[in-house]
Amino acid sequence: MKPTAQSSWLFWSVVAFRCVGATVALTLLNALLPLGTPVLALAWFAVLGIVCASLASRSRLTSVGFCIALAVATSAPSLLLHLTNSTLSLAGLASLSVEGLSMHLASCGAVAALGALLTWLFWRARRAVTAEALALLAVAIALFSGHRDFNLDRPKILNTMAWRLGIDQLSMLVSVGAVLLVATVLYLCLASLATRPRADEVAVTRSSGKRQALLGTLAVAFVALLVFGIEKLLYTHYSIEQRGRVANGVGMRSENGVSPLTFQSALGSSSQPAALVRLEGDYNNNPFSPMMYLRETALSSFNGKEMVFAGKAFDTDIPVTKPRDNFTGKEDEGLSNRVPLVQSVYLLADHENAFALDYPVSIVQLKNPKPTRFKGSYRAYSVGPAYNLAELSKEQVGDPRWSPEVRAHFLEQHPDQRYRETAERLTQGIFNPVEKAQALARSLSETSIYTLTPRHEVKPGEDPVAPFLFGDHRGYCVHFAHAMVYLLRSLGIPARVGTGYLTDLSQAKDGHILLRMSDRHAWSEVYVTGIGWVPFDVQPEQVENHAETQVDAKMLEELMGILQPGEELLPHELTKDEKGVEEDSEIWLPDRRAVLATGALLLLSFVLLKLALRHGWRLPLSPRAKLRWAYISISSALCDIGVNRSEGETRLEFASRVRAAYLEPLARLSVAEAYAPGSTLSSDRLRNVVATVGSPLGGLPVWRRGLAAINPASVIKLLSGGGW
Amino acid sequence: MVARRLRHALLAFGLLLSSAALLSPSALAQDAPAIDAPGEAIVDPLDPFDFFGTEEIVSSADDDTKSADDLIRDGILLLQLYRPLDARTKLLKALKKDPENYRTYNLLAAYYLIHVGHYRLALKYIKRAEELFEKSYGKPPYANRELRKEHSDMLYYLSQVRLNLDNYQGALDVLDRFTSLGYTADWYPGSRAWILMKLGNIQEAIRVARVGVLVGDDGARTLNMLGILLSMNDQPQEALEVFRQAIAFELSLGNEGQPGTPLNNSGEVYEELFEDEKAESSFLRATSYKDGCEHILPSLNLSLMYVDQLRFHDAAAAMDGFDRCMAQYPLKNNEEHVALESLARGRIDLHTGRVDRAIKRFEAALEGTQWFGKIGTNQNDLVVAGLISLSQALTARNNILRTTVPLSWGEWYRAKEEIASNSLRAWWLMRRARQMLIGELNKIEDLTVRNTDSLVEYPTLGDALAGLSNAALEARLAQQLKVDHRPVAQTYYKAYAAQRQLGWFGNSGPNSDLDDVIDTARPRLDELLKTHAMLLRMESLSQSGERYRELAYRVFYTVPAELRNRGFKLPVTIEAAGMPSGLASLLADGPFLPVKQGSGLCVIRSLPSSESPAEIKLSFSCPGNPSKDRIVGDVEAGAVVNKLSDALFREEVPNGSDS
Repeated sequence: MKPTAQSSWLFWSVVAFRCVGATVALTLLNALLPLGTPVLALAWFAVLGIVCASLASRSRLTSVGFCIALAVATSAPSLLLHLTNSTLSLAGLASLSVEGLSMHLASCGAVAALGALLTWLFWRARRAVTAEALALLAVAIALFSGHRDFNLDRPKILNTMAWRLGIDQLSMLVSVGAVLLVATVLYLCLASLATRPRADEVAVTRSSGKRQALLGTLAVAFVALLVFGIEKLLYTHYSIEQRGRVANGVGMRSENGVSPLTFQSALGSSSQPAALVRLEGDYNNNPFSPMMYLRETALSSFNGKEMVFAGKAFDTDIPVTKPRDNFTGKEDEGLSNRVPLVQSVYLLADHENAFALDYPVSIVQLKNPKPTRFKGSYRAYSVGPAYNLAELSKEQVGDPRWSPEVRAHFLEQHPDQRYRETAERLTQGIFNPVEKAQALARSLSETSIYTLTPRHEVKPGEDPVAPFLFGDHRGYCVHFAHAMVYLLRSLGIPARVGTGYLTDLSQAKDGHILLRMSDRHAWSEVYVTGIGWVPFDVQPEQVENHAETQVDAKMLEELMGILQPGEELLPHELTKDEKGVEEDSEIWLPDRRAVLATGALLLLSFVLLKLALRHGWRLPLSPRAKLRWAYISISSALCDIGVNRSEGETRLEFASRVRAAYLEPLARLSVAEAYAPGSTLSSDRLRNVVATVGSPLGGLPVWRRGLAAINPASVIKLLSGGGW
Repeated sequence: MVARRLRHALLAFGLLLSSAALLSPSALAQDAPAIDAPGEAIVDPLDPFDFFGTEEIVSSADDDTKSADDLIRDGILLLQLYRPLDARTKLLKALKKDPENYRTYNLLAAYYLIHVGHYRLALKYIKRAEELFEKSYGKPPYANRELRKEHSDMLYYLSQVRLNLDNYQGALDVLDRFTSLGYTADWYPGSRAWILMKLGNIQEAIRVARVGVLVGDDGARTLNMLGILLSMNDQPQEALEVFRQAIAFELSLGNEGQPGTPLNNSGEVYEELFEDEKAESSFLRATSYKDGCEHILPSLNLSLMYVDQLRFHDAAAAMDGFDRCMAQYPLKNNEEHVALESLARGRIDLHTGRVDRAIKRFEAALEGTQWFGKIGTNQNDLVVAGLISLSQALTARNNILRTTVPLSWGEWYRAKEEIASNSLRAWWLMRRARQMLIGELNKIEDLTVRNTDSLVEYPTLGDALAGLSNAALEARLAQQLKVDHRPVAQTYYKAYAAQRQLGWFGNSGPNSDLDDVIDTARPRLDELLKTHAMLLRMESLSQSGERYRELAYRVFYTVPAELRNRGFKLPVTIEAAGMPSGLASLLADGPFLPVKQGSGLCVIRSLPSSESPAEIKLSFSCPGNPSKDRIVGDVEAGAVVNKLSDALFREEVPNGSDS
């Protein structure tokens, strides 16, 4: 039997949907793992497999026959090439080109076979839809699971895509989730509507209600899970926001009496780009070379549990200014061994405070070279350290200009006497305070184990450092910095915790440093007389888990390009005809408002169509039209709960099959009206019949009626030509 | 190897270019002091009198009041002082002040070409510079000598930028323009020869380079170029002679010379000729000079050569030497070295049984390809080498897991899971490598043993080639044998063919071929090839046979890790007396093959523990080879077997810096 226009439309919609899905899946897979064969070729073969299997499913071919045909079709070309090569080898003409072609063909064959097999299962064993939905769910979970523990930059493919499009990672995640959601619902909807027209059957009369219900339930479960996942992700994001974007255990808040650091876990340290720092001059006498400390804030007050921010009253060298504000400080004339250094900072993620090389005397706003890429930009004028670390050991600590109150502040000790005992033990025989600090840093570096997940059990109010220092020695920068400060202060050495970024200059290019969230760091500092605050950082020799990744060179180069003189000085036309110069293609993004307006319009249309379908008969229409719309109202409601008129089924047969008391009179009336227009349609009879309309779903549970209300199936059916 | 030499030459060339750029008349225009000799600094940073006021120049305090020309001059002086970032900042300020000044664009082009390696940007600057130059002085030709010189410099930068962007024809077109305008320069012959070589026109390139040598311009560089071209043209002896001249030339320049470059190149030619001792000597000499030490290639060549000879400690020491050298320049970006060093160190780890670390290093090497700038003319060489090595390491990891006694059900399950995933990954990576060898690398151009820019490990390349169809590989090898008549190389090709045919039912040909390889491979120099052949030979031998035992022990005494990496068991005598029950069978589950009767086999026996009664102690001893004696102990039987395996099949080599 020839399929009807409607079923044909649905059939090809499903086929098209599968083809698009396969192409997208292959593209994504190739981005994750280079497949070797051009994606376009693979996609063509996948489409070929899907279309062939769909067409074959409409024939009389059995599953065994299909499998045989599939095996022959996919292996024949490779086999043929192999045989050709073997034959050519006899004549000494075998070639690697044929071998290469054979490998590509094998890949294409495998893709086509997979596409065909799954499509065959889809049409012939409809439970495959369920399996596919579950597989989709698994993919979605796998896709999103990479974002556990605040890792917003995983999986890399989404992160890269977000970067290319110039949108933040979370928006990308939510967008992908939404697209996946819509696509899945639409697909399930189409799949549940489309039936396989079979040549040997006049009408498919099997009831599909149960299956539809099952599919509907699964779809709802899937949607619920995805929504739950997205909501969870949003929640996670907001919690990150609330805590000030914690990465590596180092947050960004700077309120008096509050610490931006966390002790529980440093997970979330991602390679998400945080900022681009451009050195405006050479820094040849960097004492920490190739590393560089960029300080954001310092914690010098002890609140009985941990180090917290003390405010400008004590830490006068910290600007504590928003990245969008200017700052003018005063250069400390009493400090020596410092050099002026200018840095331009282009923020790629939101920051609460400006950061700069220790210590900034001025921060001025810069014009943002690309607001779609950078969150803000400023230039910091610092007097950077230029001392020789090896010569510091002779120096004294503390600032003679400090008042007793300030001195006491920087020497406030932890009440736990074990810190003093440990410090004294580790510095036995050493008298110079700087040497003591060096000995402590060295000792902790030797005994500590770096881990992102120390998982210490610390009750609220308890000292979170003690389990590290007096326990298993496992921790991360926050533990090391606190332990150092407690130990140093117990020896009478003024110390505090510095927070910000620690970066490796050897990964910089042309003085451009790409800071990642994983570069966030906390370290201990000691005030050395005449020098200022000097980092004494613990660098553990043992590392349990720490994912050190290289800076993305391409991203760095791309950002460098943005900072270069603009189009007015270096127009694109200059390199228009040059080979080997591929400019990054700008991806077109529709205006957000336009997308929202379109979405709203579509939603409104959907609601209007639904209302028309359900309540159109209530309008003042001619009796004939009223009858038609009344029938449509009931049929569309049935359609939304998954009860459809099958191929070749007459209206009366359908009415009889579904046993809906309210449908049969309507069906009879409309059929009679179709054969003898105007003869039977008295207004009284019509009124009686139409009175039954309005509660076709009355007996169903509320959740099912609710689902039917939002089910787009009837609207799709209407748009595809009706056929009620 | 040739391309690697080219890369090294490129580095040397870059250094020369750097001097050229800084000393070009255009760069020093605007009343800048004249410079006569290359490398002569305008300002001595240590000069107590500091006539030019370095600090004043660096300071940006007066920049607002300075003219664009003043800023340009400051920029040039700062480049001379090797303060590139300060110079760049000054030049960008100059650009802002006078956006129509072609000199600023020209200098920035040179800066991005030489100091940064950002060629796309350099191209924009140089094109703009030329555009503004022509706007100011009209279209060429120019009558004025200074203008001619400035324009010729611009053309030079443009050709170099295009060369670096792999636009060889474009670069040659620029050089054609250069000559058509009647310009001459000392760099011209070397540069033209290079571009011609890139375009595959070797004969023409040799002719140009020879003319350059005769003219005597830029002697060292042109000689080096000529040597490379001659070696590419299958004239190794002539190439060596030219390199000797280049070395002498460079040495005659004293501190300014760069003898490391021709020394490394001659070492590679010796390597191609399988004169390994001379090659080693050349590489060692190259690393002793500043330019050879700073660059990874001599150290890498040395390290890879030592791996072929199973001298793993020396191989690690070569890379350590490079690390030490690089440590002198903490600000130097080591981007292009990361991948190569990871690859070399990964190979050392793999062959010494540190397979976990090897996997991480190979992954780092593959990830590091993003940094593999213009030093590597073809990134695919590194990718293929990384893919093959990673696949081999994953297979080795599986073999180790199979002979590791699980201590719990969880461990057993995880091992099975890892084996399944590793198998799939190893298969896929090797398949991808083969695809790239055929496609991206022009029908396995790397097949010529030691004669290409390949980074593959030749003794074990057969692992990758074995996946090709027999007909295709035979045809390719036949084609190779027609052009490659080096006797030692034949042994390698024989090994590849044999490995492909291995396992064909009833085919004894490969076994005899492998026996040939074992017998004919050069002692001490081709040890890895020999070991690989022995391991392949063992695949077709019965474990109970005498030959299997003999080969297993030969491998065990030379490179023990390979035995376990390839999944072979070591025949041993187990003295069950005094051993806890079940331990003997656990040993059999490990990498040991209990043999009841056999002489000269190593013996595993139980020892009483002096520390704890619960502790199980095992001793391993080999008659006549006390270096292999080991004693291990643990409270768990499985753990003690694993400890013994690790003690025997792992070697300690310097770790180097974790990449």
